[in-house]
Amino acid sequence: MRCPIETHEGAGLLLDFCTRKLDPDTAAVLDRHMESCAACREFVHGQQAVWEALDGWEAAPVSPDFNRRFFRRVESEERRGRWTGLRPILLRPALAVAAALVVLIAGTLLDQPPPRTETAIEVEQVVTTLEDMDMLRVFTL
Amino acid sequence: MKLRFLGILFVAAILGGNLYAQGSRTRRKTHVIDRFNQLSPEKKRQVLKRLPPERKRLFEERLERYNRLAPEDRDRLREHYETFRRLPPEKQDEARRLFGRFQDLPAARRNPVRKELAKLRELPPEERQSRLDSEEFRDEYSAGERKLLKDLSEILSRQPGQAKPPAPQIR
Repeated sequence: MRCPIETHEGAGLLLDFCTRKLDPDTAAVLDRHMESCAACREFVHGQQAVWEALDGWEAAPVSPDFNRRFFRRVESEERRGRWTGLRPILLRPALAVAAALVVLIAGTLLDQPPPRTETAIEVEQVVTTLEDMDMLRVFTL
Repeated sequence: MKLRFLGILFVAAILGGNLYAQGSRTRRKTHVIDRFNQLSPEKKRQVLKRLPPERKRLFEERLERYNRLAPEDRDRLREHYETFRRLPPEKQDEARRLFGRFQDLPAARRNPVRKELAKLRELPPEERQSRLDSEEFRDEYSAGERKLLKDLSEILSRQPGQAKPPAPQIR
């Protein structure tokens, strides 16, 4: 027999051996192979240790009011979820108002021309505008 | 209740913002020269004190001429200025340069050139071109004047769809 660990179906065959699902002839062949194959022997012993540990495990007893507490918790989570879902809707107008106020305040602040630079900008703007208008007056009126 | 209050506040903020923006737009629409005219004498002095004396003198002369215009002419000039402002900056600069050349013309030639330009500006492109190519045009103006008129009439010609202004007031 070829070593199951070296073939693709090896793990499945060895797991079936551990759970005694293999037919007796195949199980006997595998048994004989394991006498000479340390790797397969180690794999099967490891699996058997896991099964034995699981067989020996006992679940902790469920407390008598487990169900009641469980469903109360589910209900409170659902309620919280509903409010959480509504929160953005409730917050939306407040955010819109806040945004509108921010825009208004920013607009008010930005609209105030800085007193020191205004003179310099204004004078150049006024002078060049008037120069252009004087040229246009000559050419167009 | 809280929601209703927030809703009212929101609508008020939007309406207030719109009114404010509208007011701001109206303020900005006022022409810069008119805004200058509305300043107090003290503020005007403050604005102009940064100008070199010669530039300040020229400014005051131009302002005087502008203020002497009839209201209709002032309105027309403002419209022309708005059209001029919409030109690409390089065309605006070219017009200013040509204006300098116009001012260098002998005083006796400025008025005929100016009147010719007014006629050329009103013509559709084909008619303008045939006027520029005409023998009469060649006889009336020097090569420099012809070039000046050609270039200026191209920059300052009435754009398609632009309304023809009413005739200027004679004062």
